Amino acid sequence: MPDLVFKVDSALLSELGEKLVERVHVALLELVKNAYDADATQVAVKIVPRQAGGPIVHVEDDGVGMTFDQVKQYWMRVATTNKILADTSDRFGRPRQGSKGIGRFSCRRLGTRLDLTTTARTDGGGFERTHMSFDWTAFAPGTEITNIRCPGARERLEQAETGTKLVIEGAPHDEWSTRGYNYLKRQLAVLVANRGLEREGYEADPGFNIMLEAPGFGEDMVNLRDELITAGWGTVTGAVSTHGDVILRLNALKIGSRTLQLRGAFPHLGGVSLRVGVLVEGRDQMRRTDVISKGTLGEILNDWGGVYVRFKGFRVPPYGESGNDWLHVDRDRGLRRSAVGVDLVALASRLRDVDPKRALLSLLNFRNYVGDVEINSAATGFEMKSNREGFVASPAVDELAKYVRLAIDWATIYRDYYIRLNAREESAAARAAFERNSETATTQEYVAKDAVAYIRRETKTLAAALPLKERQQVQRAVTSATEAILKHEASNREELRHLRLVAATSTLLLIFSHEVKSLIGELEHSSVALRNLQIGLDERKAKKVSELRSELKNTKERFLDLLGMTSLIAVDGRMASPERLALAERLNTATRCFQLIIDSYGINVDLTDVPNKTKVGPILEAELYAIVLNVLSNSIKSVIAAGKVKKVKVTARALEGRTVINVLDTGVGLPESYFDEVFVPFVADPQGTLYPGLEKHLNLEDRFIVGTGSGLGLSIIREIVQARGGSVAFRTPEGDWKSSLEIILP
Amino acid sequence: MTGAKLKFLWLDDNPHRQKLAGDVEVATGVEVSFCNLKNENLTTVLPELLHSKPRQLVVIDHILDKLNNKSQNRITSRGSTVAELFREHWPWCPVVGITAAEKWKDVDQRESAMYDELYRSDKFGDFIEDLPILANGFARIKRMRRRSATSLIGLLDPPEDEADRILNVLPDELLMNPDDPSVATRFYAWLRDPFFNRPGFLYERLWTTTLLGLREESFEKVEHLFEPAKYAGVFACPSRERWWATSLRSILRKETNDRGGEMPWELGRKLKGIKEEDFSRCYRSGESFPETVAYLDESSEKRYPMRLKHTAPHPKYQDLLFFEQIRMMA
Repeated sequence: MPDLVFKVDSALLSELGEKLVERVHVALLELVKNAYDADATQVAVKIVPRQAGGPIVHVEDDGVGMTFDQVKQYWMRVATTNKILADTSDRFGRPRQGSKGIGRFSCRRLGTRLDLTTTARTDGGGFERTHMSFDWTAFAPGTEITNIRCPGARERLEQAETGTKLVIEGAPHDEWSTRGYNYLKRQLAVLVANRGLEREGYEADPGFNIMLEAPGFGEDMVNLRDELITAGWGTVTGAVSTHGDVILRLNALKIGSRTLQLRGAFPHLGGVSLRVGVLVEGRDQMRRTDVISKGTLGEILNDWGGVYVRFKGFRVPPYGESGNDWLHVDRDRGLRRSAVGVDLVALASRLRDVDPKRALLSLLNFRNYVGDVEINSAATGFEMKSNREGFVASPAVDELAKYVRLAIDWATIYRDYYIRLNAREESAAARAAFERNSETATTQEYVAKDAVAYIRRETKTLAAALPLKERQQVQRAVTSATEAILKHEASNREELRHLRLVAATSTLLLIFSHEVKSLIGELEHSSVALRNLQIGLDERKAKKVSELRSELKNTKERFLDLLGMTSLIAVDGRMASPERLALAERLNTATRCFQLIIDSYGINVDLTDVPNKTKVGPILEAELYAIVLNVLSNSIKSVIAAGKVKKVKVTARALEGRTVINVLDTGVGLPESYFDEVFVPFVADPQGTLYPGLEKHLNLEDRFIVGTGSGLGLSIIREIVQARGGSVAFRTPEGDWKSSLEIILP
Repeated sequence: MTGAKLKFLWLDDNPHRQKLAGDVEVATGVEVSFCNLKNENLTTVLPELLHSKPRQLVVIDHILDKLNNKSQNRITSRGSTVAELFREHWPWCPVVGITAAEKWKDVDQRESAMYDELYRSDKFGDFIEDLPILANGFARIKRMRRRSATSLIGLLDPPEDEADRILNVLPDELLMNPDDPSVATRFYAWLRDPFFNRPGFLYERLWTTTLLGLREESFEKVEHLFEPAKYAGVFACPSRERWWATSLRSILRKETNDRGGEMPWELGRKLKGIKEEDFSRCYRSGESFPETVAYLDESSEKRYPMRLKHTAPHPKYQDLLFFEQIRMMA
């Protein structure tokens, strides 16, 4: 039985090149990655459109190239494993980007014809240039790969530049799209972020850049590194004159172009220039989403973020490398340093909403600043260490860090301004939307009066044509209706005036509470002093002092509880958001506010039928307290006024997804005829029994505790409850109870 | 410590607080230099202080609104700005802010972040004993010969198998720059929150008793058994005791001869001396065996033991690896 061998059909190339690499932009990306892996420092990529069919693609790099034997051994061998075996490039030690040995067949995705020219050093000295032409149409299904000949030539040269050039043409269809092209650019931008690095055991990597030319997409000749630096939120460029004068320029999103000049600030830095991109991972903070995306930027910042230093054209390690915080950016973030330096205070103060003492809190991680500082031969005082790891310490080196940091801090001030500008714009947009949606007109004192006068005048004119009887009828109806409008409006204004008064009182309450809190601070001192006193006393006396301290602590906690209520008034309703709140806890706290009066008058407040699990809302905490404080206050006043058995009971139960709260008391009661009237503003005691009863039973010094009866409490409760989708009403009480208020909340 | 008296600096424009500073001296045995800034020009006073010999702790009044008019501006009227200057000049010195109660919740988070701690003046007495602990903790970190993530964790004196887990959650900035002078501040900030304040590696009393299935008030009956689990590492404070969660569990298993299979809140009830009235109950349902501690709602600061099924994740807290999920009553 003879041995058998596999044959490879040319259809395999189609599988690898055209089907595995589905998109043209992915195919081209693979070719550029090959250049990166070949230790190129520059790649020129041209995508030249043709009148018919796909564009001609040129990829030319200055990498190590291939000798004729390497072309034969690797290029002409499908799925070679050299990249898998060696995961770093030979010369610079770059982690390899291309993969699987199929990149070259990506060429098939880009065109039917490939011209390959590659020049490499030979082992014996000198150079070798290889030229090959591939006509992919010859690799038709049914033919065997090994039987198809590809014409080629080799020549030996004394002097030459190494590198590889690919020219691909003959694509029958133009499959390029702007979206695909932008994808390519974003991926290539990750490669050009390599601005140089020294890897142990390899030659220093000078970095990798791409010149991109794609007239079909409106781009003539683009330096992709430049594009990357300017793609983020902002770019700072700077130059120092021979006299040490500094000019910094910032170009940033929503900020536009800004300039800062400082005279004679950096005398050692003549000729030093910088270019730093401020790159922030957030699509809304990118100026060029065709160059970076959230995904690629994360990779770029992680691998290549930081400000590098170049001295006479060469990168100086380790400035800007991972863990080298030479500008103290991360240190200051760690220390939460927030105030800007003295040079920038005046500028920061001028920008609206920017606080010079906080502006640096917008400082980003050092990796978010991507760029280079170039030191040319005009600068003085820079001397490399003998191990080439940085400069020998000198005033010039100190100045350099200060100069770059000044640029970053300056940009940070504008970023802080930008953040605040954004917040203001969002707020204005929200307000405009609200005003558009709200149909309420601006309140003017005389709007209603003028409107009524207008209606009366117009009606009179229109009615003039009517017979006398009808005319008089119409005018009477209009007068009656407009009188009602005016009365209602007057009542509203009166209510508003009263509410303003109440609002002013709340300010007084806040001022009062501020003073009380200062006094509590004094109590705290007394408590600490008592503790110190306790140390030297015998056991009996120490115990007594301990009791005193405990009483003092309880008193202080009671004060703080009460003052906690006043702080609810200070809650900015625009900041707070309605939530589902535990009811029992709020009832307990509110009841504690009345503890003195409850104890003095022997009132039994029973909350046991409010289950711990009961939650109400969504409602603001301040609103819930307004409800429970008002209802408890009413019931407490009522039971005192009645002067008999003083019981208040609150119950809560769930009913069809809502919570029914009942407030029962044994007070003066309320006849059914007043069940609605008590919710009308300024109706405090319609029956006329509450305040006379209080007059009779309440101690003079307690009158202020229960309030004077503005007649607004129940109307406020109704407003709040209804606004939250609930209802409130008095019900006929059962048993011994004299009053039953039912509140239904979601 | 060498035994030398700790020296604190107190900057305040409220001269009444000098009495409080005196109380701190008596209560803790430290030496407090009170610098009364009322009607003083901060720009004159500060440089001199900053260039003096660093103290072991600085207390700063957060609102400095009674300075000399000429030196008062938007920047210097906040203690947080002064705190920042001290951080720069005395990086190994903890900086504590003190503020009046009514301003407590209004303090801008970015300003409060300037302090290692910001205490309410009306509750300052509760924190007096923390001051020397804070100072000594910072000093311990400073004295370390070689600071690394592992050696910092060593300061916590964790149970043997906890060190690796702590290393896993230690912030990157500590892992990367453990030798930077800001390490003490950064390390303490992480310890304060989440390490100490969030149950996970350590449990405070309510979490501990809930784990053991006991009421908080009944814990003293068995507290001595769990003494070895008590946190005794750097910044440990006797009045705010915490226990290593893993040690609590292992002691519990040992004390009850558990061979596995029973939940800790079941085992806790088997401890000697524990009766039915000591058993914890779910605040919401009254059921036995509450497995977690939950807030009442988003706004409330009250927490109670609850059955897990009656709670939901608290929306204001993110989940953190190896830390308990913070929940609220459903």
